Amino acid sequence: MQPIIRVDNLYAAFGEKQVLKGISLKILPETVTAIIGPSGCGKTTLLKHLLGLYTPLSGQVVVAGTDLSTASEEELRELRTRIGMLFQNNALMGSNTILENAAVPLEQHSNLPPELIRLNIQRKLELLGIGGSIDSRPAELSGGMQKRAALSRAIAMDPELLFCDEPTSGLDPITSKRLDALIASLRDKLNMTVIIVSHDVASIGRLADHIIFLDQGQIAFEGSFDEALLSTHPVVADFFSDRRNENNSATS
Amino acid sequence: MDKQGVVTAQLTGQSLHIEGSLTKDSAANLFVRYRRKGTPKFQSLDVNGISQIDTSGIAFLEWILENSEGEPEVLYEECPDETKKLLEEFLIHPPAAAPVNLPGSPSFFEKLGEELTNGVAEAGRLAVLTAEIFFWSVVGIFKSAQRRKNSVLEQCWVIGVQSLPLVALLSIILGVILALQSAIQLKAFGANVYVANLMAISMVSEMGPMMTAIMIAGRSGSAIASELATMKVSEEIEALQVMGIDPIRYVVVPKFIAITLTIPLLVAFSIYLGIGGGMLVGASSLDIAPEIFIARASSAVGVTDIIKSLTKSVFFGWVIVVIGSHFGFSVSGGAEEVGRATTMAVVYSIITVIVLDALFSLTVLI
Repeated sequence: MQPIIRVDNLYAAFGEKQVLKGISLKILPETVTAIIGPSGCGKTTLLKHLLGLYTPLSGQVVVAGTDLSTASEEELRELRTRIGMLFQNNALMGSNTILENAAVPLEQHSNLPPELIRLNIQRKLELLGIGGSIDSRPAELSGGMQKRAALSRAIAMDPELLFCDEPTSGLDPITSKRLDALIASLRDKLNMTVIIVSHDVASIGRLADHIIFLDQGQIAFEGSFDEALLSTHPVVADFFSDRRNENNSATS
Repeated sequence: MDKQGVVTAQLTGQSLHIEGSLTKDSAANLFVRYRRKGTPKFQSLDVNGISQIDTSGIAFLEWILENSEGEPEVLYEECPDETKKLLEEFLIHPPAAAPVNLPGSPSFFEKLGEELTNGVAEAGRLAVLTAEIFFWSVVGIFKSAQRRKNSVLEQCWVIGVQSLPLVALLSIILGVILALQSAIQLKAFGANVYVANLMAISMVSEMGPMMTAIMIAGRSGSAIASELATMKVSEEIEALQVMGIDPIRYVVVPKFIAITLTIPLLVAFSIYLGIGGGMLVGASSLDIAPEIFIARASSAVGVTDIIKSLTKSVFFGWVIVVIGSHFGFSVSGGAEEVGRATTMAVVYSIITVIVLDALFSLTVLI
């Protein structure tokens, strides 16, 4: 299967500080990939490269057939209509209703009339379980509901690729679990490829088909969640140590 | 992805056939066509010929089904797997809709009642806020607990000292304009020298306090409203409350005390420079020697006039702080509201200052 994202030997630096040191990876379509690692390991920098917000210092980033290092502004714009992004702090506009928030991409990138946009958003909100909140403002919703409202905006355009930055941060375990289930069902129902940046080991275990572990700007581990638990790399082993201990005590 | 996807819809007998690529790029055309000429009558909707569909395409199908008579059957069995999956998820077995309780639109009297109660509630909140500010300011004179250290001095600097250049510039200009305009009229009667009296009276009793208050409302009133509104939006006010700190005591009272102390000084400064501007015009183009100007000016106003003027300015200062805080605290929602609150604060401060000034002028009649 052709990868939907291909990164070859990507280097990135802020001034003197090298942040990414030769990252190469492939992400297959319709999978959930988690990018994890300790703080400051370059996760966000990698994510911003995948979104085309940063230009690579050297190396190549190809997302859905577009080479980001050579892409024109026009090509980047076109690519971004095929990408959805769920921000860590939701980034919903407080003075607009959920419908107005979620409709922004469709209003900007299609000539759909408002009636069809409303129907479309209404269905997506129902899929996410907050159909009754279409005319509410973000401040009137709980944290979990705001997250789902932000998710409805991210998937408004039926993107091929959905990026989630810390989707479960600030949510209780039950809401996190429900959000994970929603993301998994979105992948199945809308055939999306999902890339998650997260620290939440439980959530990664539930959701990710594939894990990319970054440490000091390099890939320390790549593989499935179960393989990650068995990794002997010291940082990876430390990251998953709690979970590994739990599993051990459960089996013994 | 085929951006230029073509979609066709054809009515054959009782069946509406839709073929091609029905996506957000092509659904709009079909929608516009059917809305203009009305949806046709059909008993089955045949979408087997659809090669590609997305949720916007499905929204169109949903719309056309809703607008058709009866309950047409949807034929989709021969679609490609992906299309079939989407159709089943969103159109055939859509996710359960949560009940939406839409309130009916209120009648005229309901609206009127709501406006009235809102108005009364707002006036009530303003009164409570004013009382709290006064109470804590009086208490604050004796007890500085729950106030940021040096906050009164800091506010005196921001509200008072930093306003000096603005007040100075505008007061001199005002004085020059007033003197020139009145001189043209008075010259006709050979009463040039009365420019000094006129300048003194108008600067002391009206122009000084009112213009300074308007300038401070624009400069400091807006700053107070936007600061509080931003604090409210970013939940800092709630954070203060959670920490057991009264936001009024902590944020508003220092400003209130500072404006009470500084605004009379600013007004005195403004009066002085305004009359000075008039004196410049007198000396340069009206043949009034500065000594004569000063003598006439000081004979025209008494100590009571000056005390009245400065007292009036203190009331104006209070109005600016109270109204600024009221609009700042009443913000709910996002960044847009901060701008609205700031504008409202400035507009209402200026209106109130002018109305209050008119009321003070009426005391002349007593």
